[in-house]
Amino acid sequence: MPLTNRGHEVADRLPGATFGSGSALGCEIVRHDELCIGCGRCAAACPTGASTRGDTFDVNQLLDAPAESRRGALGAAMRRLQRRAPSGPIEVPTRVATYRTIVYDSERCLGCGACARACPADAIEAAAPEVGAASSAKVTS
Amino acid sequence: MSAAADRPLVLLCECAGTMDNIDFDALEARLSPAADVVRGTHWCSRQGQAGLLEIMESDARRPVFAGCSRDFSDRRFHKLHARGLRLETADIREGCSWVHGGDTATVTDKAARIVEASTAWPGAPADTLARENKVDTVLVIGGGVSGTQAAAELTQMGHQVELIERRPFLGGRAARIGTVFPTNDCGQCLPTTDAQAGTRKCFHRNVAIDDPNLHVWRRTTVESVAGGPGDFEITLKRLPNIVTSDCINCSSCETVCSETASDGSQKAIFAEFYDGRVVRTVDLDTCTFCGECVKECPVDAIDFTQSPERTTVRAGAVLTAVGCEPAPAPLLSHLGYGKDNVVTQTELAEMMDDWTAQASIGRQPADEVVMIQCAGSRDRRRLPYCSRICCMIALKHSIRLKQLFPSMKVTICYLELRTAGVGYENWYLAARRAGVEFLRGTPPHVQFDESGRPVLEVEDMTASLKRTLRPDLVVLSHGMVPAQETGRMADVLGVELDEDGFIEILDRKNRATETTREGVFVCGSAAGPKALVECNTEASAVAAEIHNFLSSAGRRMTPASTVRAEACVGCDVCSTMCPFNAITLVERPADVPRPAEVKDDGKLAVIDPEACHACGICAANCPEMAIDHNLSDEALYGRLRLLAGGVEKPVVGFFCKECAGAAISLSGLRHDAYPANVRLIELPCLGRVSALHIVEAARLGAAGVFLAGCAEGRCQFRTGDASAAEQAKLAGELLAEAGLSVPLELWNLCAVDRESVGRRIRLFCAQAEGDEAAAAMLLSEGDLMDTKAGNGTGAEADPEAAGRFVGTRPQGGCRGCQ
Repeated sequence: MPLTNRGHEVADRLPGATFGSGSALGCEIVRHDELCIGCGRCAAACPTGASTRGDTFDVNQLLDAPAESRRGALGAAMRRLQRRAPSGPIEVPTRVATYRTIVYDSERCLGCGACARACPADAIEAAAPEVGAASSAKVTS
Repeated sequence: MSAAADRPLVLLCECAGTMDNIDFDALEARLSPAADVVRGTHWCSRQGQAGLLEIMESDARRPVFAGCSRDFSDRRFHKLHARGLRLETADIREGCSWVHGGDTATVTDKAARIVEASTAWPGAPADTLARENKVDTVLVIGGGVSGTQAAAELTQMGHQVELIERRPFLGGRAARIGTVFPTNDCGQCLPTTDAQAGTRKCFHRNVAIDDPNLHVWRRTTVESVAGGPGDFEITLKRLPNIVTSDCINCSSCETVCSETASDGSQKAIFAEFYDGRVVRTVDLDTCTFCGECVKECPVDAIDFTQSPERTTVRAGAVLTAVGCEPAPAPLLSHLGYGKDNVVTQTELAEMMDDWTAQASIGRQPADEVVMIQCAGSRDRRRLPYCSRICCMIALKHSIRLKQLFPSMKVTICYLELRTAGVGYENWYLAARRAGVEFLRGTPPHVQFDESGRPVLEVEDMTASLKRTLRPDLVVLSHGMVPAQETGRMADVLGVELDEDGFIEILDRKNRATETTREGVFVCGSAAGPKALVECNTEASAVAAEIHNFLSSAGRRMTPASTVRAEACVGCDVCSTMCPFNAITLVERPADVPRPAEVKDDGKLAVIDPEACHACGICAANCPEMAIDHNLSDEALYGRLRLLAGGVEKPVVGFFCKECAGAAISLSGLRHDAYPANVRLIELPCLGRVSALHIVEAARLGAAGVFLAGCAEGRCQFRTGDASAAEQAKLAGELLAEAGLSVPLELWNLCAVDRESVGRRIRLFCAQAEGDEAAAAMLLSEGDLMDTKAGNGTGAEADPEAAGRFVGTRPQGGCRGCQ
């Protein structure tokens, strides 16, 4: 995750700060893929292109979705219709607005939270980072 | 005087010798190398002001006045302000000398630092005027009683008014009700102008609506709004009325019309309410365009060839008077609404005309009527709020029923009767005298026996017993909800809604007719259900408010914030945070520089300088620090560096110059002492403070940092205290992570806290410095204060409460603002 200008200023002033698990100056972005409807509004709102809207959709995401969700219902319907299990992502025609795979690149994310505010399905959570409870696996060098 | 233009000019005031703990000779000597210092013993005296005027008129520089606080000096030198001359203040009196002890060296050093901070980084004077030229037209949305009255009054004040009404007739809900409280006559009147005798006239007789400057647009809705306060461009959509103004209301068309209007009570071509111009209209939803009426009309007043038209009007201000409407049926279904013998008060009002006719021939349509108050209202699952008018409507109807049918049994099931208003309680007494039974307790639901008769099981709370009522008719005193289009209207106008869906007003205490957007006003029931008397009062109030807005020179403010495009990445943090909707994200123009990480179709934030109030919330929250506020980060860091120096362990306080500033300077006027290591930084709004400023203070060795803003939720810039709280939390986390433990507190102050803020600062210092004995002493002092102040309320021994000095605050909070 690249540092924002404010992040650099803090880093200058507080050499000890490790910024915990997130950028510590923006939000920590948590994506809930099972709720995502693939509309791409997050990609449109994202200033840096950390979220992009793909041309394909992984059908397995639908099939694995929880049964009570909107995606789960669609997945169940597909399971009844399908003859053989799908292999890999399928291409989505351009006129279909939703059900695209959203590619999220945390390396480019500034943590501004614009995507979470734009998401119509509450699939993105922008939480103030939990400093201290650092999940060290995510700390960027 | 050696007047080099780049040297600051300092006017040093000894305040008539009251600042005896400052060594003015030393202070002058210290400031002199970098500034031209003019010393005076009493600048605000008659001779002093004359001298000051002479200096300021001969010298182009804006002097730094080192003496009393900004609030105090603004008042003392108001004559200078009237001439357009501005002083920069350095508060060495209430903020330094008067609140510190006799250690002359320390106090003088602090005073010198305060003056140096002001000379090195002077604040921006509030000289910018927003919107000097405004369009002198007002768009009034809603032709009900509130809207029409406000429109008529605005026309009389000389403004051009465009009054638009969604329906074909003016008058709104009030004109369709038989009688209204508190006068028990019809609700169809407006106050008259000088052109007519009498105090009021019906809509169809009132010449106020005929003013040539008042345009009435019927069947018209707002489609879109562009522009900004002072010059809105509004697109209106007008549906044709079909019946032209040639109509003589002979009703011939009605006799041949074979369709009924959508509400079922009239023909599809109908006359509802004569408001002076239009008498008749066509319900376009049910009309089959058969053309029979056209053939029948003797004056050729029916024209089906008209089509909807769109018009754009320009207006300086917009008034929303869209009103409210009865709660929809689903909110009343638990009380049996939908069955024949369950009606609402609105329906009863309509039935009453018919019942009056029956009474005149000696018939009584029902023997027993039960009214249920708060039907669907004050209920978390339905309407959580009190609609305020239902109690009076029930009283009015019950009295009317008893007058018409003395032997009818009328019962009102209520929990509380809210009759707050001039003369309202008399209605309750009159209802009692008339023999209306008041039963304390409302039924949770209404059941029906096999014959379809309602059965109500009510717990009578006064008598503590369960009662079963079997009335002929149940009347539900329903609440009111926002009018149908309120949500869409708010979207189009860019104003906010409150938690109940009504138009949010700017300030519940002082600015009841303004919305969250400047230039957009609200009156009447659009901001919450109101009785006619309140609607009329608000209509007059809002007319004066709009007149004031349109004719004033403009809002005086410090320069608006700006976005540096080369740093802005186009995230939506600022536009989300801005309390005045002044920031929009636009497509980034090709010639504007962009930061490396921004994608090709990235956006750019743009601040509307006319809507910006220069609070600094955006600048404090921008992750890229791309927004420049007139109080720049460099100035803030510089002042911090200067003020936090020269003392071992400074305690840094950021405070807003609004409510917290008032509390602190008033506390200073009381000579309420606190340690000299407290260094205060004034901000336009506490929202200007960012986590970085707090981190910087800690890095400079601050023993503690406190942030003082307006009373909770009462920020003058709406959300500054909330933003500061977020930033403080973030700063706390950053500091903890870096291993620095700096006490950090956020205080919500208002002018009443002048009594306690000094002690609060002392306590904070004692705790920040780890002086536990002093802290304990201050706390016990607070306890003593609490028992003294709280003698009326008794047990306030909560130790936490004592620490916060809540007991010293007078009941009801601050009433100082205007």
